[in-house]
Amino acid sequence: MSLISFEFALFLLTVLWLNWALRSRRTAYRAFLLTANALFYASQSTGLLLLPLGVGMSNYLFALLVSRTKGNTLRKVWLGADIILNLGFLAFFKYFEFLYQSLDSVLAPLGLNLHLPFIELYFPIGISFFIFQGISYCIDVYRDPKGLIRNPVDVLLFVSFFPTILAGPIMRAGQFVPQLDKPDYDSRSFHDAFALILSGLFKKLVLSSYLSEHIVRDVFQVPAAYSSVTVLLGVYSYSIQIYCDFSGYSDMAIGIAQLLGFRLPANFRMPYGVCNVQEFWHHWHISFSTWLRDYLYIPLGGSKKGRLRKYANLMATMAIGGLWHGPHSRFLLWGTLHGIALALTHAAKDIRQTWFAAGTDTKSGAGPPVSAWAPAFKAGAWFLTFNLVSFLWVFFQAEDTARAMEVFQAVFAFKTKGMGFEFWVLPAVAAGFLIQFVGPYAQDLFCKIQQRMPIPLQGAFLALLCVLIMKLGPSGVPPFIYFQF
Amino acid sequence: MVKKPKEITPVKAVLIYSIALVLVVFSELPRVLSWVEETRCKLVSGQMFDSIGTNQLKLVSKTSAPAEETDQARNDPSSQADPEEMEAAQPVVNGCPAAQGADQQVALSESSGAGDVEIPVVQSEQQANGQATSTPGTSSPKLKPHKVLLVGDSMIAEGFGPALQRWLSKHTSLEVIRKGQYSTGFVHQEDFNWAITLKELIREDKPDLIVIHMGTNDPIDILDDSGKRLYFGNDKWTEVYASRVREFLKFASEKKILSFWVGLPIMCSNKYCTKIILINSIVEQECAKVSGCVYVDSWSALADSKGNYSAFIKRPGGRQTRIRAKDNVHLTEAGGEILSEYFLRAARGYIDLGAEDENAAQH
Repeated sequence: MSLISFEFALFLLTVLWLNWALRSRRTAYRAFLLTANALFYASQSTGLLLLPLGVGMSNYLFALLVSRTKGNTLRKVWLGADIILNLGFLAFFKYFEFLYQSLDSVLAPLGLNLHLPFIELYFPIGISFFIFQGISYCIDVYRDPKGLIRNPVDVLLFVSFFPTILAGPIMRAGQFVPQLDKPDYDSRSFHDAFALILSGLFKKLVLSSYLSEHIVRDVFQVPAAYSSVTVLLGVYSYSIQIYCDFSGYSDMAIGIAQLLGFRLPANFRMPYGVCNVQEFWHHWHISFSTWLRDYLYIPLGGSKKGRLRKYANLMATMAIGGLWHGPHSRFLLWGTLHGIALALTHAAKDIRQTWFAAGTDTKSGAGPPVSAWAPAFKAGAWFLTFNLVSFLWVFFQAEDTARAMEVFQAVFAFKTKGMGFEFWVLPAVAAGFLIQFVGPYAQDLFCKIQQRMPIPLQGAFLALLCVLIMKLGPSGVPPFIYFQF
Repeated sequence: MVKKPKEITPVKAVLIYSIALVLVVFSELPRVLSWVEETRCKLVSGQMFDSIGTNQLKLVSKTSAPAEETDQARNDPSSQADPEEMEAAQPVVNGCPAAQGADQQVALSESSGAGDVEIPVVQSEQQANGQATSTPGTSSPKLKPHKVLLVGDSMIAEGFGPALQRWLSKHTSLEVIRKGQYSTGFVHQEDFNWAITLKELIREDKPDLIVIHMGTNDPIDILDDSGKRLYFGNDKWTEVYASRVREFLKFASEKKILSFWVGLPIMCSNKYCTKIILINSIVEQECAKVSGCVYVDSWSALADSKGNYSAFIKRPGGRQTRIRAKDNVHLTEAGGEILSEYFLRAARGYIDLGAEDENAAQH
């Protein structure tokens, strides 16, 4: 069941009542939450329910071995085994079909015509997210054995937590597990939670769905049929669509978790208001980029092994991050290009820092001189960053690399002939862009209004806003983009 | 005096949520009842667990290899089989009637009476292959369309629809309009009525050729105007469904616009296969009754050499290519390209698309 389906609304009603009825009972609460997680995941893929539970259990066992083993070499072996096992699961489900498709084309030129059986695998939704979450727990225990969680059920709950299992935010065990016994909330938490859920619904049902249906899908399917302006608008629309889709889901997940008494980290923070790619990755899918930083970039050496090694580590990290999205060359290209952009950003900053340190008096503690042109430079930097990010998103939506090139060709052909776009696409794009800035104020206003109403009126106000959003949205249940990863 | 904000405890928060949910249910009652009905149908038909339970980990085809790229003859819809032979031999694999390699034929509609659209009658294999520039047996020239309208459900929104649009866009004299609407059909007309929508599209866009491809959402019960349930596949259901298809085709026929209805291709699930065969047969019969509509049987277009469902096909060069989406219903773009080529071969006896633009985007 999708987070925006009626069956989920009913499921959540039941879970909320039981959650707060059992919160103070340690064992009963854990049993209930595990059951709720299992039911939710089973509604997505019944037969693969054992997978997140298996991942949780394997990480628990390996973390236990890591914490109890004395020798460092053997600890590394256990950690390595855990990572290989988990990534093995991920690779099997995600890359099996790619390998199967490629194998024949590799073997055929060698004169080998193998007729291999094909296994139709049902793709477990959220696998990339809960496997990364599981691995992070084992690595954390390796780094600090005091982080070991003694109760295996807690680890299972951490890996399979239903609001986040499908598309994050990717949590850390140290953040989540303590909240099982000590729910984190205050009087404003629940209003914030409702505000986040409404925000998520609006972004997904109204903005993302509209843009997908009215411009993005058609333009990316047949870019040559559209004028260059329409294709360009399609590119920007997809930027807004993926932001609204993904941040909308994150808002809902965080809001639902908050209703259950769990405080989760923010996953998006005005990502399209930044002025360089480095800042972008501090504001976009924050839980994923910090995971890459902590578990890939830093183990590779981070910035500690010199500048050139830093740039190489950045590119490698982003390339692997691209591959995480799927076994397609377009994702690898997307990640690599982001890595190059990131490395160039760091290089520019390093050069500027070196130049400034050489040319000025550092003892005074003064910063670099502020130019009168700074606002113009900043606007220019924002424009370049937004366009770079938007054009790189083309690789995400396009069917393949060749189609992405078609989209670019269609934009830079400056063609006036071709189909245009519907008027309402423009305000939808503008709304999607502005909501990242206006959203926090709107949430604050909602909370203030709610706090002054009696309980029944709060329920009615919440219902009114829900119905308005549903009226503006499509009929049916639109899928989330990031579920495919 | 500043009013102190009300404190919200967890129980109060859950109460707010409960009140909101009840109010939303009452205000969106038709949608909720529709959901209840859909869930009930899925539970009764076992469809809710069908695709999950049976398709998770299995060998897709009894042969150890997926479909090989087939030769021209097998995919050529113009090769005509002996109808008697077709009826006699209907191998059934896994409960799903397998398509036969050489038995595809294009069902022809019947022109009836004055004022009907004149459609060239396919007389010979050679003619159907497009090798003849004239159409013996009739004085009607082939239609040279200028504006093509593609309509249907998600099968036009993705897969076949975009692929066909890309093919047709190679002809610069052709304007192509595509309208694919997810989750639509002829059963649930309260949310979206295709007969009304097609009328509006025809009035607005004035196409001279229509290509239709839909029906995947229709193998479910119909609730008639009085709220009575008509069970899928029974006589009353068939009668009502047929009348809706007829109503849909009527306006285009009255406007003398040539229409092609591309039947749905072979499906994976046995149960679903049987249902789609019924949908296809009803559509085929209605197309035959309405002048100006040609039914294109595409059941075997994406089947393997044994006529079975296959999610993959082997392209020249050896690479396996996925032609069906993971839901085993929709087509990938590669599958859409194959179906588009199949359809265009079937249609070339009726339409002349003209020369392709060499500078048009290549596949």
